[in-house]
Amino acid sequence: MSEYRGFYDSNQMNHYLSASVIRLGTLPVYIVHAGFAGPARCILTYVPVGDTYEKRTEVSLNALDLTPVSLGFLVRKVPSKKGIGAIFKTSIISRLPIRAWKIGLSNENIRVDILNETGDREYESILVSKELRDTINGKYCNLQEAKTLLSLEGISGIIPFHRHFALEKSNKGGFSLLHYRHKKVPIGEINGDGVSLNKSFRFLNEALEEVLDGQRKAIPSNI
Amino acid sequence: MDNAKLYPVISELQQFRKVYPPEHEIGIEIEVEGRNLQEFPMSRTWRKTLDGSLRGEESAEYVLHHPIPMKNVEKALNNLTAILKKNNAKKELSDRCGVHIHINVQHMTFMELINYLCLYLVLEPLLVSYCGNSREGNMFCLRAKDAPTLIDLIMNSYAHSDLYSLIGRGNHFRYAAVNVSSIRKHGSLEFRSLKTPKNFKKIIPWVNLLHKLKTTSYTFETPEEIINAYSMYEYERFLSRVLEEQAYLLMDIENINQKLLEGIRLVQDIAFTDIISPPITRKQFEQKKKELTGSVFSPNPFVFEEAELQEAPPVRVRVLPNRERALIPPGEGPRVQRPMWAIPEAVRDERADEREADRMATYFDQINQQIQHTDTHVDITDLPPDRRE
Repeated sequence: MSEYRGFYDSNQMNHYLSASVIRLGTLPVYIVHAGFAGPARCILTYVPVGDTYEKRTEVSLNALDLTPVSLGFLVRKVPSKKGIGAIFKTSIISRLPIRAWKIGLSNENIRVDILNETGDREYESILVSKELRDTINGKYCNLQEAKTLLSLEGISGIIPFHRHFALEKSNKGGFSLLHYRHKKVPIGEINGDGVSLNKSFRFLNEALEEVLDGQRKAIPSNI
Repeated sequence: MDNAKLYPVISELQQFRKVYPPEHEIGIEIEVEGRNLQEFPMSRTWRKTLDGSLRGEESAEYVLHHPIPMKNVEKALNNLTAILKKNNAKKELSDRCGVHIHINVQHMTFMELINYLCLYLVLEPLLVSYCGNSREGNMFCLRAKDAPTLIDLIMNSYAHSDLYSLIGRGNHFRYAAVNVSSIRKHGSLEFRSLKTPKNFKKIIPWVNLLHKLKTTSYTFETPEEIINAYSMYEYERFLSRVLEEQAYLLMDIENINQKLLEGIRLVQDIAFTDIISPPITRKQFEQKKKELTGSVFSPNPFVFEEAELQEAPPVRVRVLPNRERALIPPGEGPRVQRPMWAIPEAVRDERADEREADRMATYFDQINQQIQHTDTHVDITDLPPDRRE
């Protein structure tokens, strides 16, 4: 059989794609089953990441985006045990360079670093969660919204405002800035409207400025 | 290379089966799918192996026997081309076929290795683009951008000046575009990005680029200097500074500035890591070696004793009354044991597997020799139950 995009038969295609997250066009999808459907076409059974229903479709192989999905902070809002407010449980999601026969993001090659002290082990499957969809699509609240949320009574935890940056209430009354690579180590502080980076993290200034500039220009989100 | 006098080199920190001369720097593996690939004559330069990830009518992986000097790369590739041509081999190459270049780092110090890695990672987005669109995001050679856990690993290793935390993670980082696990196994960094070209001569510029990065990395003291060099120059001048006359190979790549910035942002985190413990100097290393001499440990607690790396103990032959001979499996005699906690788990597992395989191979060779030369019957009841088959 002829080979298309590195797949030479239905079985091999299914092994490489099933139980992993890839993109169908721009939509992140969790593949349940995949197989050939004639030259350069395939039949996919998939669950859109963040959705609960399986779908089945026949598409051109060129519609599959097999490049690794972008990852970073992943946040989940859970009701507070006190009954008022919410806890933002945040993790850092990254990919390991393990092949394990999967092209997409799978349970074998995903790494989850949990930041909240209370942990967050309540996922049945992180791969189909709507929080992962938001991470892949880069859908976060902006810095202003994160600050407002954390100022509210009953709200606690870490709130990311970009896939690489997050905000946490600091002990001094302001907010601490976190970076996905430095995990729980605060890289700077926010007091009022001023953002100041700690001396050893000044190299992140340019990246942070880019993020904040982008948010100033963008339409406010509705989170 | 002066750092080698101040600091111990990798081959002293980690024990290898063989330490090659510094000028023997290049190892090459070429994966090929196609036809008429199976017949391969005995060659002094190349050997043929099989690779399970390849498909096609026939497939083969051609590997250099030993690392070769840079100046011999062209000759070696011509040699392989001639052999395949003689066999009337037809190459039908897919995205699965890659060229893996090994650059010998046995004679680098820990800091030189970190500088080399950082310099490569700065240019990685450009270098992978140079290898072709199909290599970007390819699961056989993931960039640090796609699988950023590699950056965490290097950061941690650099902060603690700990070579073993970088190389002792089994095969967890094997499918990165730069494979650091290969240092433990071969004493080399493996670069996996290049797709096998139809014409093997196209491998030469890629080898030149990687080799140039190695020689340039010696000119930087720390990864921070690499970042500073980028901040000081425009991207064109930075590339000229790093790659000199070979910079032109990367100049035509789209979004060159953006890709370079991506690399810089990744390496920044390594470069500005707080150093918790600086690299061990040669003086400290010698001192530690002296302190440990005569104790049950070897100077480096993660390296096996010399005696343990020698061949398996000889098989003891017991002559039975009724002219039958029974062979006692090796490994039963008294052996010097070292505490298992002193050896990292990954190293322990791999070394244990290797030693077991070597021991069993020697053992079965002995049995075969006995059978051939003495024509006697081997009493299998004397063997342990799991080895009777």
